[in-house]
Amino acid sequence: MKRGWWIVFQKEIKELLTDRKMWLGSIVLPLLVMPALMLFIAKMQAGAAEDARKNINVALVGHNARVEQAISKIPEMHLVEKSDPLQALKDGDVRAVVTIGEQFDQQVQAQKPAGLTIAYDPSNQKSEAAHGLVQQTLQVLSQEVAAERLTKLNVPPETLLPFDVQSIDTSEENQKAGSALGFIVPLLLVLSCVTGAMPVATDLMAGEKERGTLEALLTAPVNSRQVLTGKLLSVSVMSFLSALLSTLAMVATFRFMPSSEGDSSQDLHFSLSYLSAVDVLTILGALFFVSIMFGALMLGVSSLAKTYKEAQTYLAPFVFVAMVPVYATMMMSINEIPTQYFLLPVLNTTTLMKEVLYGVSDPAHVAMVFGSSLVFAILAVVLTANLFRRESLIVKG
Amino acid sequence: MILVERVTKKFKKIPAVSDLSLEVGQGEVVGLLGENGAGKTTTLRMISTVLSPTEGRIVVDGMDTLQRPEEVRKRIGILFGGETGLYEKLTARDNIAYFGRLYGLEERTIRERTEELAKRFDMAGFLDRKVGGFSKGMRQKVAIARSVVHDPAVILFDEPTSGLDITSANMFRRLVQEFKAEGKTILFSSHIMSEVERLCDRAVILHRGELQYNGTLEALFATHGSRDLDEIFMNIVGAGGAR
Ligand SMILES: Nc1ncnc2c1ncn2[C@@H]1O[C@H](COP(=O)(O)OP(=O)(O)OP(=O)(O)O)[C@@H](O)[C@H]1O
Ligand SMILES: [Mg+2]
Repeated sequence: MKRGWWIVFQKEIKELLTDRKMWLGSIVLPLLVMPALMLFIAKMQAGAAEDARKNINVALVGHNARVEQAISKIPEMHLVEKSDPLQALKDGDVRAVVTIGEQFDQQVQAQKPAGLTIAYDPSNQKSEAAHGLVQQTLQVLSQEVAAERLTKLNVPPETLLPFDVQSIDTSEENQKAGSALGFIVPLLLVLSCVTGAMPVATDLMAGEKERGTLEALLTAPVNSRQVLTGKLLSVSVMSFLSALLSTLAMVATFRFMPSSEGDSSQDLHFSLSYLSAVDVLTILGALFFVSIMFGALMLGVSSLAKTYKEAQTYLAPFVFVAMVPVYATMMMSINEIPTQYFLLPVLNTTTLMKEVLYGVSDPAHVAMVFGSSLVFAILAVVLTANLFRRESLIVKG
Repeated sequence: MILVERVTKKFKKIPAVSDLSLEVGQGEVVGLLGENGAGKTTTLRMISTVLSPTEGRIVVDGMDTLQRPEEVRKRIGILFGGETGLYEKLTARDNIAYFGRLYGLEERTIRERTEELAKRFDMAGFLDRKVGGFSKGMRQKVAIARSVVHDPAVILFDEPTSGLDITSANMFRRLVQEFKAEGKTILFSSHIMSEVERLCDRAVILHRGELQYNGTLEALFATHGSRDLDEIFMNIVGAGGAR
């Protein structure tokens, strides 16, 4: 004879598959939304990065031919006239204001430090970037003038440059991509577990209670634990299916995403083709446990509700449960993340995903995450099993 | 077949059924009467093992409901009135088959039994349609078929005709008579006196969770010197209420 949980599971899946709402939520949505969202974010980032390096308007107060020339020599920079340059900076019309001191020319003549100020708005990333560029340009100009003076004195300019300091970017391509994606990808994948489980958990417990089918079901000669197992499996399968499809949609998007024209795509580091099969499996493995944990918890919460509507209200906070851990590590680079984070529920999974996306997956961390997630999944199942045993939860008043 | 022995059920210390004892023999049809909140549903739920008694014990076909609940459930078919509790997105056949499987029937048995019940309840025309679009009468037929798919010895009906039109209610009554002829034990709750009068060998009257009357309708009519069940019921309930 077939086991009770299997009969329940089969029926639930059959019923779910005839439900258009469920198809949309758990299957179609992740398949469409993931690529769309990824492309949107990529475009936004590309746009922003490009914007920051293009059409940099700089206002100049005062006059000096060399300064003006040096700035306008940079192709992306444009000198603009503004009647109120500081207000224009505030309004974002210009990204920096260079003020040439009144005594500037005389001071240069007299070989005294000549005052130049760069006003910028640190709260505006574009202004911040412009500031860097202007500063660099003026530095070069300053060195040029110094070199001329030294040459006049017959001193080789190198005398005043004892060191040749150079900076090298050591991060690998994947790390740049990983840090760009380390925030959004874990968020979307954990959320897809939640959105996959939510409608199913609502329907399978509170929905059945409201329609009176749960009581009928419990008069059949199957252990209530078998019923719970069948339902739990259904919720977790739908949750994981949603996460799986989201992951595959994401990987596919990165594989086949048309790279934007020109060189800008190279600077974007937005290809995840470096993700190996093992990396993808690690992500899916971590999500598997999360699916079981969310499935069990949501089913338990749903069984506390008397109606479908009530269950929806109770389950809504799960979205935040999924979001908080992602935000908690948003600003951390992966080597700053404390080890205990790999042992906390949900946080462990998002942290591990961040690490994998960064291209460094520590086997010890993987073991910690899988182990602790297994424990949380078991705890969630036990908790729900205890809720489900109480008869008052099953029979609606 | 059904033995209820000094059963009390309390919800948060408030008794819904108090010290109830009754017995239903094999092949008997017993009506459970009472006003809203009298404890009819609670009693039927305890017999079907969905609720456990706070005190006392219930035995069905020799099996204690607390000790061997699954054995008890195998022998019982239960139908809740009002909402029939069917899966809207599944077909009538799938609804019946689901319960057939839960009762441990073979797939072949389920198929044969479904065809048989479909013929008997005149459901062949909508057997493979989704329940979502069914009328109350159609739902009721499916729900009854589902509750007896495993050919139970004991059938519990909770207000089976509530919300049904005369045709469907009549069909249900004919069915009860057929089940009785097959030797099934039937306990059903109702507050429709004429229905009880027509179908039952015996009536059990509950009021506020307490047993007010348990005996044949003939004896009831004799003691009250009247054949008006509504009037007798009001008398009994009134007396119970005055305590
Ligand atoms: N799950 C429950 N929790 C708390 N109280 C309950 C519960 N079920 C029933 N009761 C209470 O027990 C009493 C008996 O209820 P029951 O449903 O058995 O009555 P009934 O005879 O079936 O009434 P009706 O004709 O309205 O169906 C009522 O006072 C009811 O409020
Ligand atoms: Mg009732």
